[in-house]
Amino acid sequence: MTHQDYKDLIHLSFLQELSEDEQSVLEEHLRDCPECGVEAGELKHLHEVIGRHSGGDITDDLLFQARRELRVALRLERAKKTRWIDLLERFNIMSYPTVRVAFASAAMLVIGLGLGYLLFVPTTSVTSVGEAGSLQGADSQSGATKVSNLRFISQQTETGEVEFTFEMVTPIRMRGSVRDNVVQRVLAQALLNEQNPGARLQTVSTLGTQLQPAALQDHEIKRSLIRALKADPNVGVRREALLTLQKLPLDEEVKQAFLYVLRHETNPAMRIDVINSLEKPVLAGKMIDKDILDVLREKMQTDENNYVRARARNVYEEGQQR
Amino acid sequence: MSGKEQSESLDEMLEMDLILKAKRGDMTAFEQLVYRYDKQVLSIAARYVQTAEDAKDVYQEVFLRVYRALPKFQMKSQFSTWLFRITTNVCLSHRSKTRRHTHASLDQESDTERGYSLSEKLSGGGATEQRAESSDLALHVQHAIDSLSPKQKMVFVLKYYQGYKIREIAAMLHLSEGTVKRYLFDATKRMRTELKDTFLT
Repeated sequence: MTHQDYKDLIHLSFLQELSEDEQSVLEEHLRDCPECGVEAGELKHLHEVIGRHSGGDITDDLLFQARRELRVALRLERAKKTRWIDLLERFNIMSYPTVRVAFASAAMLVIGLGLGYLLFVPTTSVTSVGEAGSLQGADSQSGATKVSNLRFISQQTETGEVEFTFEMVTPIRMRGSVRDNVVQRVLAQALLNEQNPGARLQTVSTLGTQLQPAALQDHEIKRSLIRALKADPNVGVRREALLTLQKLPLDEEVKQAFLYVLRHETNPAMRIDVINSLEKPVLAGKMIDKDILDVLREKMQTDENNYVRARARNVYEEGQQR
Repeated sequence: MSGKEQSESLDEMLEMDLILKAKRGDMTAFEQLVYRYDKQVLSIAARYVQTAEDAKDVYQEVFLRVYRALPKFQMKSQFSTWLFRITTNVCLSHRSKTRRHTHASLDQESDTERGYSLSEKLSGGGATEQRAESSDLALHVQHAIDSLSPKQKMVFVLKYYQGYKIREIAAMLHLSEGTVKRYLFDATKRMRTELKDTFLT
């Protein structure tokens, strides 16, 4: 290491950005190097001067004023938004018969051009376009299509004919009701495969808020929600899945999922939520089955969280009395 | 799981809940979200700009931008990282806007605008005598900080006055950790030069 490297370490040391190992390497060097010792002394002095200037934090008075002004600005912002919406609603151009005719004609022209393109542009035969190709209401954004993993199977030099396989990924923009079966299938798939936790969270939230319990009973949606509850790495997604599944009757599948969470979930708030769900039959005066009692007994004895143990004991004892 | 981890996890869930509600237009949730971070935002702004009015302007602009952009926030990054990135952007652009009309007041050695100064709005100054003693130092240090380039200044404020780690600053400013270190080293070098004659001898 050069002196410059050690000088950088001195900087970082004052900024408390060194690991223990780096710190000890630096201290050892400083014992024998007067040049770096001078550097350390000067930097120490500089930090003391800057530190003396740091003063304190902002006053409550300034914060209070800023909050008050922000509230006013937000109110104006919301009013502005509402005015735009009102204006758009009032300026309902489709109510004019002539405009309606013009729009209809334009729409017909666009559909005609689209159909003409599809029917008369020569296409290469492609097999297995995948499920997305059959989605109604979905627009493929072909400009962004990505082709990968191309493998040549055969190539005939005389005729120029080639045969190959490839993978094609096309971004799809879709608009439709969440009550639509196809939309639900896409969302259920997204819940299992989407990488972005924010998107998964929004998917569960959309399913939970937009669908009636009967629709949530759909095998694929229910399976996706249960899998998200049990295995999603993001606690927010798991919690949203739990909230959605709580809307369903406590059948065998849901019960087993809840018991799994009670046994394996690391977040105590989730375990408490599950105990609350399992308590519902007891509160309704119904029998609580043995599987549930067994897990509750286990949790009231072994759970690391005091409140979880207390809640489990409480529900277990109520269940025993039934 | 330790008690601290449990409480962090619960806090994370509560924040997620607030974000989702605020995204759907729930103003109470949005306000709660603001109150979680607004002191830090105002503190960064106050360190970066020159007057209390400017600090409040930055604060307001930051949260208006957050309010407008929240429906499109995809939670790919932490909310706090996204918020502080907006804060730093607003600070950086705000400086360039105010520079045009603050030269005159700098010449008059005054950091006041519309009647009161930022130093009056920063607490912890202690007794009047102590404040008088340190005012000369404060003025010189502030001038030295103002001599830094906008990004050096932002990195310097986030590190020295807000105590963020280099990796956190890198995430906020969309820079590599190496670049943040370089800005810090250059800023420190500049500060040494600026303060050498008066305080470091």
